[in-house]
Amino acid sequence: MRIAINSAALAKLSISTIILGPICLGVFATLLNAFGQNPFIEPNPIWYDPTVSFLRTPGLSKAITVTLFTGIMSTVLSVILALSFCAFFIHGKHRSRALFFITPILAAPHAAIAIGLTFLIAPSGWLFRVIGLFFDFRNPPDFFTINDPLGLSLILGLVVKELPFLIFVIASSLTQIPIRRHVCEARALGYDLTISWLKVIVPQIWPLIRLPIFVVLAYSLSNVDMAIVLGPKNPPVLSVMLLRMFVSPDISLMMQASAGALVQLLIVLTVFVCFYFSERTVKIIGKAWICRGCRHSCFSDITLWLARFSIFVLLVAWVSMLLLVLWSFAWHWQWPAVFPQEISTKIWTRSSLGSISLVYNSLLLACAAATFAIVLTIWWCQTEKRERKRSPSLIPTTLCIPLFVPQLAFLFGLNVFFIKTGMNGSLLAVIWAHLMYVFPYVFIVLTNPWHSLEPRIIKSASALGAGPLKQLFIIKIPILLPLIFSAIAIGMAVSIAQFLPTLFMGEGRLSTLTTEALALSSGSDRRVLGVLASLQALIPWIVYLMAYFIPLFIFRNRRGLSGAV
Amino acid sequence: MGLVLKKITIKSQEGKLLIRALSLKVSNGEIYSVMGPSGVGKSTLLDAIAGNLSDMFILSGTVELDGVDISFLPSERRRIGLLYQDAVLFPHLSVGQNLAFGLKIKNQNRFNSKKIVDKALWQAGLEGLYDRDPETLSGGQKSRAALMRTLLSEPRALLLDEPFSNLDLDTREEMRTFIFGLIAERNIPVLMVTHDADDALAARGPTHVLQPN
Repeated sequence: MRIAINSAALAKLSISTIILGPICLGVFATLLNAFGQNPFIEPNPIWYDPTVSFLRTPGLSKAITVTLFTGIMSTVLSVILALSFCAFFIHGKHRSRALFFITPILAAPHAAIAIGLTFLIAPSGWLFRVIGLFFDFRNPPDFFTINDPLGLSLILGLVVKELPFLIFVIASSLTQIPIRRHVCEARALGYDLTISWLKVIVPQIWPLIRLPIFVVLAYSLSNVDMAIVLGPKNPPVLSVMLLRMFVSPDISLMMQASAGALVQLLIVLTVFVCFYFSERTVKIIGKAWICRGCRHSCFSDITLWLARFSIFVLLVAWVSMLLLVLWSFAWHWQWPAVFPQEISTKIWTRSSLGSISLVYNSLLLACAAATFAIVLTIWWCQTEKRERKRSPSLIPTTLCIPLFVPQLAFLFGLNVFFIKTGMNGSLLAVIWAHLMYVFPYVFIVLTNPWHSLEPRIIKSASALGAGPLKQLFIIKIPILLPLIFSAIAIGMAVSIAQFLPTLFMGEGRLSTLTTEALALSSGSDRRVLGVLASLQALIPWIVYLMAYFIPLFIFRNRRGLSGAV
Repeated sequence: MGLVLKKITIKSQEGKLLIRALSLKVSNGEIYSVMGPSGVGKSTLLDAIAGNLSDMFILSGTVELDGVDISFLPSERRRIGLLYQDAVLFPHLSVGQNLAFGLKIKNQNRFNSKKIVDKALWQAGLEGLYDRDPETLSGGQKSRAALMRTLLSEPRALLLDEPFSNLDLDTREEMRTFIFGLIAERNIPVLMVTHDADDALAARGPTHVLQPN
C-alpha cells in the first residue's frame, strides 16, 4: 500500500506539535499535580486536597482582587491611551516621528522598564530628588510609590510597556484602510477630527487589534517579571504568589501551586469571556451613537487630553530607560542629589566578568530560538505555497495560543514531563520553551509578506529551470532578507525578555540577563542593577539596529530592497 | 452668494507650482465644471476647498461661501459636501447606517432617524437595503448612497470629484440625471471636477480648464 504524504499537512502537524504540544502536555501535567498526582512526590489520596489547601491560602482573595484590578485597569487604560494617541499622532506627518519615538521602548524587555521605573518613582528615586529641590526632603519620603498594596505602580508599569505595543499594532492596522479619505469624508459631513476617528476609523481597526488586546490582557493578568519589581508584596498578585509556592523548598506546596495555576488559568479565561461580552455591548451602544448624528461632544476634548497624557506616559518610559544608564555609571550618588556626584565606568568593568556569561547565555538562547522560529515559519510558508492554499484564519490564532495561556499553568507541568524524559535543565529544553513565545511573533511578521511575494517572479524562475529548493534559496530568501532580519530581531528581543521559561526549564542552572536582573531587583546595589538592566535593554536595540543596517548594506545597490524593521 | 474662490494658489512644499491664482465663482444652483488632464491638480483643488489639503502643499488665496471667508475653518465646520468617484462608503456600517451617519439633526431619536433614512433610500432607489453591507452594492448604488448621505448632512455647497468615472456608460447616464436632478432641488453651488467633456456638457454650467504649470 502506498501512503501519500501531504507535505503541507506534515509541516502543519509538526509545527503545531512543536509549539502547542508542550502547552498541552504542561497543562495536563499541572492538572494531574493539582489533583495530587506527581510522579516524584507521594500521591495525595484525597484528590481535591491541594485545591482546598490552595483556596485556604492566607491573602488569596486579596491577591486575586489585585490581580484582576491591575490586569483589567492596565489593559483598558493602555487601549484608551493608544487609541487617543493614534487619533492625533500616528497618521500624516507625525507617523514616522511617533514610530521612531516608541520603537526603543518596544524593544526593551518588561523587566528593564520596570527596574527603570523604580529608579524614577521609588521614594528615593529621581522624581522625589527633583521634588526635593523645592520641598527640602531630608530623607526619602515615606510613601508607597512602588509595591503599593493597590498595585497602582504595577498598573503604571504595565501601561508604560503595553502602550507602545498597542500604538505599533494600531499603526500597522491603519495601513490596511484608506484612513485619510475616510476621515476627509466624515469631516465633510461635519464631524470633527476626533469624532471622525472614533466613529469611522476605530470601528474598522477594532477587529484587527482585538487579538493583540487579548494578548495584552492575558499578560497583564499573569505577568511575573513586572509584578516582582513593582507589584504589591504581601499579599502579592496571584502570579507572584504562585511562583513563591513553586520555588519553595517545601515540595508539598507544588501541588497547591498547581491548583493555583489552574485557578489562574480559569480567571484569565473568565476575564476573556467577560471582555468578549463587554465588547459586544459596547459595539451595540457604539453603533447607536454613531448614527445619532452628534458631530461634536465632550469626547473631542477628552481624547485630546488623553493623547497628551499618553505622550507623558511615553516620556516616563524614556526617562526610566535613561535612568538605568545613568545609575550604571553613577559611582557616587547620594540622596538627595539630582545627578550623580561621581561618574565612573568602574561598575561596568567590575560587572563585566559576571555579565559576559549572562550576555552569552541570553544571546545563545535568543539566536537559537529565533533561528528555529525562522526555519519553522519558512517551512510552513513554503509548503503552504506549494499546496496553493491560503492559511485558514484559525491556524495563526491557534499558533498564538502560547501568548494567551498563563505561563505558570503549563511550565511547571512541562518541567515534570522533561524530568521524566531526562531533558530537564538542558539547553534544548530552555530553547524549546523560548521558541513557543518567539515563534508567534516571527510567524506574524513573516507570513503575509511571504505570500504577497510577486508570483510572476517565482513563475519566471521556474520557467528558467529552478526547482523548489533553488527558488527558495536563490530567489525568495534573498528578496525577503530584510524582512527575515526584522523577524530575527523581534524574535531575539522576545527571547531576551523571557523570565519564567528560563527559570523553570533551566532549573536555575542557566542564568540570563533577565533572570539575574529580576533576582537582584529587590534590595540590590542599584548600580549593578543599572548595568544589567541597561544591557538587557541595549542588546535588543543593537539587534534592531543591525537588522536595519545589514540589509541596507547588503542591498546598497538595490533600490527596491532595503531595511524593513 | 455661492462659492467663490479668490486667487487660489497651491504649491508643493518643494516649491512646485500646481495651481496659480485661480479665481472663480459658483452661484447657487449652478454646477461649475473644472476640467484638465491627469495630475494637473483637480483633486488637490477640491481638497483645498474642502479644507483637507495635505501638509505636503502650501495654499494661498481665499475660499468664500455665501460671502463668508471659510479658508481658516476646519473641514468639518465648512459644511461642504464631498462626493468621490468611488463613493467612499464606510465598510463597518450598513447602507442605512452610512446614511444615518450623514444626518444633520443632532441627537436624532432612532425612530425618526430610521424614517428619514428610509425615505432617502427610497428616493435613491435603494429601498429595502438599510441593512445591506455596502460592499455588496453595485457601483451605481454606491454612488447614489454616497450622494444621499452627503445631502442628508445638508451641505451649503457640494464638491464632486469625477463622480461618474467609475461607472459604465448606461449607469453613468442614469446617475447624471439622478445626481443633477437632486442637486437642482437643493439650490446649492456645486463644483465638479471631471476629465469627461460629456459630464461638463450634461451639467449645463460654466467650465474652467486647468492647464499644467
